[in-house]
Amino acid sequence: MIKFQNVNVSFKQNKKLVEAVKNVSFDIEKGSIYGIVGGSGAGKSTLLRTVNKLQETTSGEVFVNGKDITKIKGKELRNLRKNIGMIFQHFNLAESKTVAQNISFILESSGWKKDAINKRVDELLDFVNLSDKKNVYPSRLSGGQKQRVAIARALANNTEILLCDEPTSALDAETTVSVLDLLEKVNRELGVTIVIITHELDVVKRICGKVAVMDRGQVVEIGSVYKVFTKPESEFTKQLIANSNNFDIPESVLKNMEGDILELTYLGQNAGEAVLSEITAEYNVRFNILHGKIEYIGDKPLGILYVNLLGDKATREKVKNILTEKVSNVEVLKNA
Amino acid sequence: MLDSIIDIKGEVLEALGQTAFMVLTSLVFAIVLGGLLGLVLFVTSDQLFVKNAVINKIVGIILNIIRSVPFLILMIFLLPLSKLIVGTKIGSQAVIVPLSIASIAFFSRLAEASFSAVNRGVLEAYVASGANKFAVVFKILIPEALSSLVKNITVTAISVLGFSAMAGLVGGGGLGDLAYRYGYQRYQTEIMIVCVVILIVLVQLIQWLGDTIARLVDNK
Repeated sequence: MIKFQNVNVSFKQNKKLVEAVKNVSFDIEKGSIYGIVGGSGAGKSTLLRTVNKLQETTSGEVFVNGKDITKIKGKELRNLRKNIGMIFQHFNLAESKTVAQNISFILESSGWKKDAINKRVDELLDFVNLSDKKNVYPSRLSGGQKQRVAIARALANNTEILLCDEPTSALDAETTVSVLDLLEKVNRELGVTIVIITHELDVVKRICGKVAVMDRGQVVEIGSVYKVFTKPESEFTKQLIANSNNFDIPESVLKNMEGDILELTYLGQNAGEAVLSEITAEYNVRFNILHGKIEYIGDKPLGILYVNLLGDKATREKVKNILTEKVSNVEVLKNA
Repeated sequence: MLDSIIDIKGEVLEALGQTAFMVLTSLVFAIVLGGLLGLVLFVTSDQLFVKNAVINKIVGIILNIIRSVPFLILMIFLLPLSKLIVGTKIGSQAVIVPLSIASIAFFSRLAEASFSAVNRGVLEAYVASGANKFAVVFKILIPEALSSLVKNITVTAISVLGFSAMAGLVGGGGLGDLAYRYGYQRYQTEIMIVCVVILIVLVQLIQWLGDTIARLVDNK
């Protein structure tokens, strides 16, 4: 559905040449929810904007439905854009227009008839659950409601692709969930291919099937969300995941602790604790659980446990080796 | 004092009429042509529309030149043009030409600022939806900028009122001219005060009207 082929984007900023996107190639399959993550300045927003040519590429091709959008302009470009909806971090609704007018402008400019427009607007507002706000101005809406209107507007032309530029970054946690649920519904019920760029890993874990990780203009890792989060390969991805895990035990506490500190990653709900009790039954070591959580990627559980391992050095080394076999990943944070 | 004012009641009314004629005509030109030039400046400065550095620079430089010349000098300088356009070099009609040109230059920069203040993301959202750029300009950009445009039209109207006071120099009449002739040349201070009071009231009125309209068109 979308195919990036050796895409490069560079531009001059404050007289310096910035290479925002470097040689990016990957495909986004029809009907998928695709995440692109990375820190700020990673080039993910620039890359996303090449899909509807809000951003010109320096070289390379971007195919949308088999058509290279970098090569077209004028009416042909406008027609292709009608098939690509986009939503933004700050919603970008016209403040001088009501909710209905924000949506109907798009239909008018696509040549819809008046009756058809009215019907379509009602249908869209019903879909995003905002029928009662039809004639309200955006300033009267909450952030979540604004994003719902923006989604309705982006889908107005029966678009097949929806580009989301940090769609939940301006929303609180609860609203984020409701907007993500709506995006999931858009994908499931309308078959719309969704591309989400975000710096929030939780967003990707919740709704994306596949993810591309970007760092300094390059895609450093790509794969199914479950694989990337459970078995990250690139150093950058590992760091990104570690940063989002909020393992926040004070440095001074860690320093004064005896024994080793380990980070255990395991797949499945109870696997972690079970392994620990097995080991303590057999060997003369003790575990103190410092921190732990189970999170869900899609609907698959992923457990992370931070433990303090106590015992004599030789046994500890033996236990560590056994752990490596029994759980998905062992990271030694502190070796006593 | 009251007598002398009543004596020239007719003249005051006539001057008021001349001022209103000069200001309103110039303001109409300023809104239409100045607004258009402001739009040209804006759309030629942005990749989203029809970025064109050459047109943008040329229009900008011409407008700056006009704005650099003090109105008094501009008026005298442009009188031959008045002769060409309205057929006379004297009277309110002759003043309309330089006054309109000055107001157009004045308002175009303010209009450009109003357009630039519109949230670019909103324009981008509609351009990205495949909408025609003309439609985005006329149905999104202008309505979004409207409240700010009205405020800037108010500022322009009050400045034009000030410029029009110099019309007397070429026989254009108006309140400024009346105040100058009676107050300065004939030492009838009371007439000058009356004219100034009328001008103060006019400015207050314009400001009130502008603020009210700006509020009415603002849906935020």
